[in-house]
Amino acid sequence: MAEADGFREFVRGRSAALSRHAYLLTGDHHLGEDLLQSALASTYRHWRRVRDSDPEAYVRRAMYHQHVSWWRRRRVPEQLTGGHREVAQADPADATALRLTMAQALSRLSPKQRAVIVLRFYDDLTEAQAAQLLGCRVGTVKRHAHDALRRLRDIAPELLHETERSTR
Amino acid sequence: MTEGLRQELRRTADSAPVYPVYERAMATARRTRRRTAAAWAAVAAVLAVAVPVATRPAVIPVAAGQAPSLPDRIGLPAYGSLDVDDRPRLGAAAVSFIGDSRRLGLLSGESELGGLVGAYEERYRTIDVGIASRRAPLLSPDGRFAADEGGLVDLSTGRSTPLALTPLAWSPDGRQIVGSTLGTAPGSVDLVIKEVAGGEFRTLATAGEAGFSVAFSADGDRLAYLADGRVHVLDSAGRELVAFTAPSGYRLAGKGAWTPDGSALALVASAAWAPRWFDPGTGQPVAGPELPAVSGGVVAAGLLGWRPDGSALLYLRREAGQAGQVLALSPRAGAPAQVTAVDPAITDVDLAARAISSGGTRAGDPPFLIGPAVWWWLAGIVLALGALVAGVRWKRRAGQRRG
Repeated sequence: MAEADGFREFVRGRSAALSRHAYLLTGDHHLGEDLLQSALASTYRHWRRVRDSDPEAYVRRAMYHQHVSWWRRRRVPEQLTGGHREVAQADPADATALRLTMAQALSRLSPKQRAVIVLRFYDDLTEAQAAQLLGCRVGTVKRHAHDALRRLRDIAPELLHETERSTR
Repeated sequence: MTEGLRQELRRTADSAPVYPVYERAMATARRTRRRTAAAWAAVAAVLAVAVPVATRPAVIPVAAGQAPSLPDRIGLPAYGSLDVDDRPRLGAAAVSFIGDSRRLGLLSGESELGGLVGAYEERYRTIDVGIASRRAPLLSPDGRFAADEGGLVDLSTGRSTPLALTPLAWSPDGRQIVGSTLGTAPGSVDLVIKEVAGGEFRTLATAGEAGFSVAFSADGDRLAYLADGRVHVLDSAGRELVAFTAPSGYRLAGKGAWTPDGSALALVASAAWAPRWFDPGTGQPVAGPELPAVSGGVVAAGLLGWRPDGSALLYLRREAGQAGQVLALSPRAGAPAQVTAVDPAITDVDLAARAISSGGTRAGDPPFLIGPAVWWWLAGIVLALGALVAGVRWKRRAGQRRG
């Protein structure tokens, strides 16, 4: 199909990165899969328009918006403790324990806070870039980031302590 | 602190597998595209139906040169037939009728509704005639108005206005209507005439409870009425020209009781069709048109008018279970010819004078059992059920959230 030119290659090339985003946003492999599927379906419908610009940014934006929309509609239980089908290999035991703590902490954040955390500290976007991608003001991103970090500090001080110590 | 957060996020993200969603995403996209196309098609279909109906002019103009005609078959309106004030408007009717059928009175089976058939095409409408009405709504000569005890309905606008009389006859020009009202004396009935456009009643005569039968001459200059066994002929100003005693048990033959040239007036006995003709100028019996005899059991008959070929149109109601007929009685013809077959459940029929005088007939096509209004009812039921299901699901979800 002419209108799908390049779409399969795009999905093949970017699936890994997009899957990681979907997982971070949802905290659940099934939900992550559904979220990525839905975002890719939306991208495919507009592929002719987005293929020449930045399709990956479109997919990510679709995932963020879709995720917030799902949360509003369904209030899906958010847990970053879903059964991992592919467990990271050769992780040290303390790192696994730390990751579970991190996952639990992230699950306490609202979808918007989590989206900002992922954009700012996983994608390393500036506040302005994150605001543009989320379609909100910079001040909103700042507020969500501030609230998210404060909440993480409150609910998982040991996590922050561990991460601070581990990065020194 | 944020550097540690970054590292931890990456470690968490790295544990995610690559989700194999390409095929499912394609299928979802195609399904969504199909649904969107179907939704747009449904919107287009609804608009295609709704816009012409909503923008149709309230008054239906009659095409110049178009002549009304009579259907060769009259059936019952469908369950859920459009009513006389529904769009699209009927404009004008060729036929009105009442009957004993659930289709004309869901509760009693007797007429609560009358039926109308369009003047130019096979469009059926129902019209409220009140419980157990015995007369079909009286059609104006051009078929645009239908009058009964409930009032006067303009079929081109659907609007109804009160009449305050029991209509008996329209003047041939359609400007006046003659009817009866309760008289001032106990047990008396007044014969009154009224301008359709408005104005006061003018009382023409007073009679006993048996009431009147009335017929205008074709030129509208004379009005004959029968009351208390006597026939009276009035001029257009209401002055009595002549009066004579009718044979016992006889009445005027119908709204077409005058011959087209005004030379004879037909009187018939109840429940039979054997007219006797009288000179309306003298009251003396005369030899009227030599119309063929009607055979078979007749419950009621009405001479409704005359066609250009000189034939008289007669509505016959046969005995129970037999179909009624509109017959053309041509002078010197050997036998009547059927113009219209009438459903056995129909008990009275009126024809618009213009549909008779045009001499035209068309193939009758009575509606199927279910009419358009039923689809609206069904759509309403489906919407209500949909809302109910959505409400129950929403409530269940709300309960789950609280749980």
